[in-house]
Amino acid sequence: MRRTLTTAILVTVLGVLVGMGIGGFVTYQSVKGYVQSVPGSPIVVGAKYDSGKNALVLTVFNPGGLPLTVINGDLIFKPKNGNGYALANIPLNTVIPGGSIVQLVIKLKNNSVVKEGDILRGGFTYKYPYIGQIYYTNYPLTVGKPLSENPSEVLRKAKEEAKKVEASKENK
Amino acid sequence: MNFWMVLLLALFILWAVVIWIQLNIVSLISPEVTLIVLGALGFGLFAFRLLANYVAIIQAADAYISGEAVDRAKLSQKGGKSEEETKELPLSAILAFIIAAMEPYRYTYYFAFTLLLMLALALGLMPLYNEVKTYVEALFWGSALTTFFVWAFESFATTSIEELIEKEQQEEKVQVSS
Repeated sequence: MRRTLTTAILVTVLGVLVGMGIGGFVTYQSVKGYVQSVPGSPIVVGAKYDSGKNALVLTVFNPGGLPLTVINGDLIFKPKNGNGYALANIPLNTVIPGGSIVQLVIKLKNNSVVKEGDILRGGFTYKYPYIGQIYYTNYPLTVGKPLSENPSEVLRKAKEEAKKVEASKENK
Repeated sequence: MNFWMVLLLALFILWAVVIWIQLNIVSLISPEVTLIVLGALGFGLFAFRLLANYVAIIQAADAYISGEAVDRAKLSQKGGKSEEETKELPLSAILAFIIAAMEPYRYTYYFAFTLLLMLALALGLMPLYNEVKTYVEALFWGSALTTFFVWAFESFATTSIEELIEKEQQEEKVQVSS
C-alpha cells in the first residue's frame, strides 16, 4: 500500500510542475501579446553635447511594445549670456522598435559657441503605427551636466517614486 | 470505484473544464493554445495504445485484489501469449507480459518526446526565429501533458502489479498453512 501512495505523491508533484509549466507558458504568451500592443512614451535616458559634431545627442528608450517613428526634431539654444536661437522641423525619420534604444543627433547652427551652463532644449515629434496622433516631447540639457542612465534603473526608480506618491495620498 | 463516484468525478472534471474555457476564452483562440491542444492530441494518438494497455493492467489488478473475475485469455492476448502458455502462471506474470510487450512502443514514444524536447531547447538557445521558437515550445508543452499521463499510468500500472504480487503471495501462504 505504501508504494501506491508514493507513486500518487510523485505523480501529483510532477503534475503540478507540468501544469505550472503549461500555465506559465500560456500566461507569458498572452502577457507578451498584450505588452506588444501598448504604445509607450519615449524616455530620454542619455543626453550630451557633442562638441566634435557640434550637435546635441539624445539617447531615447522606447519602453512600450509598439515601434514609434520619430518624425521631426527641434532645438532651442539658450546661452547664459546673450541671445540664443531656435531651430524647428529638423527631419530625423528614425524608427525605435519596442523595448529598444536609439540615438538622435540634432545639429546646432555652425557658428554657435556653446559653453558650460548653457541650456540646450532638444525635442522631437513622434507617432505610432495606425494611431493618428502626433506626440511631442523634449528634454532640457544643461551643458556640462550630461545625462546617462540605465533604462531599467529609470523604470525601477519611477515605479518607486509612484509608490511613494500613492503612500503619501493614503496618509492624507 | 462505484457508479456515483465516477459520475461525481466526471461532473467535477466537466465543471473545471467549463470554468477553464471561460477564463481562457481569449487565449483559447491564440495559436499557442491551439498548438498545445494539437500537440497533446497528436502525441495522444501514439500514446493511445500505451494508455489503453496500462489502464487494462490497473483494472485487472484491481479486479483480482477485490475478488472479481478477470478475463485471463484477453489479457494473455494483449501480452502476445496464447491462453495455453499462461495457464499455469499467476495473473501478475500475465500482466508483466503486457508491460514487456509495450516496451517498444514506450521506447518509441519517449524517443519522439525527447526529440521534440531537444528541438525546443536547441531553438531556445538560438537568437533568431522567435515565432518558430514559440510555436515549437507550445507543441512541446502539449506533448509534455500527454507524456505526463503516459508516465503516470505507467507508474500506476507497475505499482498495481507489485500490489498484486503481494496479494498473491499472501494467498499462497494461506494455502500452504491450511
